[in-house]
Amino acid sequence: MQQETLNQRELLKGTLGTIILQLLNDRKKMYGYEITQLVKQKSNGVLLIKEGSLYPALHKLEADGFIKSEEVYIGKRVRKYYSLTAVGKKRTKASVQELHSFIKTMQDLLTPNSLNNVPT
Amino acid sequence: MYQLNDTQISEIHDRLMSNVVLNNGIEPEILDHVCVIIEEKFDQGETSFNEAFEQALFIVCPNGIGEFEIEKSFLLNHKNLNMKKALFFSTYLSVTSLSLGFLCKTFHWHGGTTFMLAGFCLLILSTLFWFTGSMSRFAQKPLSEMVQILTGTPAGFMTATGCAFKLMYWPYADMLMLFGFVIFIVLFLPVFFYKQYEKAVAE
Repeated sequence: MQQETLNQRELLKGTLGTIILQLLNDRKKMYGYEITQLVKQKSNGVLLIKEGSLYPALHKLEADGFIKSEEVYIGKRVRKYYSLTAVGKKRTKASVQELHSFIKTMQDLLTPNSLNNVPT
Repeated sequence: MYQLNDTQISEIHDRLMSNVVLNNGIEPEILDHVCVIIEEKFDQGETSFNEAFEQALFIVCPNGIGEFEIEKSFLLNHKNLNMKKALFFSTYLSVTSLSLGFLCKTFHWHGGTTFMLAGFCLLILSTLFWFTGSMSRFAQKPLSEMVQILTGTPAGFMTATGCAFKLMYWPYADMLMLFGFVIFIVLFLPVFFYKQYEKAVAE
């Protein structure tokens, strides 16, 4: 069970950027906690994003110019809402397509019958 | 929905930051993240602030608050990435130029001086990139690393400048080379090799 969680975490790492971009594409504006909860809800609790992975991913996407942030003061604390930039919208489309194509390749590769069709 | 008051927020902030030094870019977000979880705990019926805080902390970092150090390190390294790229690229060009210059000089071909001069100029540039990149988190570095930065920078700068001046027969070349090499041999090299030895023994 522990191994399963570790594998999922490794798999999630490579796709986290795309997941964030797609969520922001759907919801327009979100903050960190909202993202973790939405991923948890959409995946029926299977995927749990760690805060230690989420914020670096958000900051990297922002540094790359794909998302922008807006600070909102709630009393004494600040909340950062993220949204897609124009470049980010294009990137989301490409990134999601890339991931779909990768998933399809993996499905073909991991389907046992597909190995029988490989010429020897 | 329950909302934490300013005193509680200050307490959360102090307790979070007393355990780990966070980059300013992350600090507000982590604070807000923990606050939202605590507020949800209150909404779910929790009445003790301390208990809610502990639960929130366990959700955010079950392996201890030091987990955020990884995040901080990632962010700082990410910011330094461009500086590292510039450093490697300029050093690569410098070594290539110096090698070509040495080859031309050895075989008495044309362009030896030009290649060597370009190589030394690029070496000066690399030293400056290295120094700028090393200055981030300088105060948090171990003493040996601080000494390497503070001696390596003037040594590299003076030696490369001295060599370039020597090629061009400009004044003060000998003095620059002498000071550069003395700092390099007496201060930088012993610290550098001792550090490498210590690392090898620890491994």
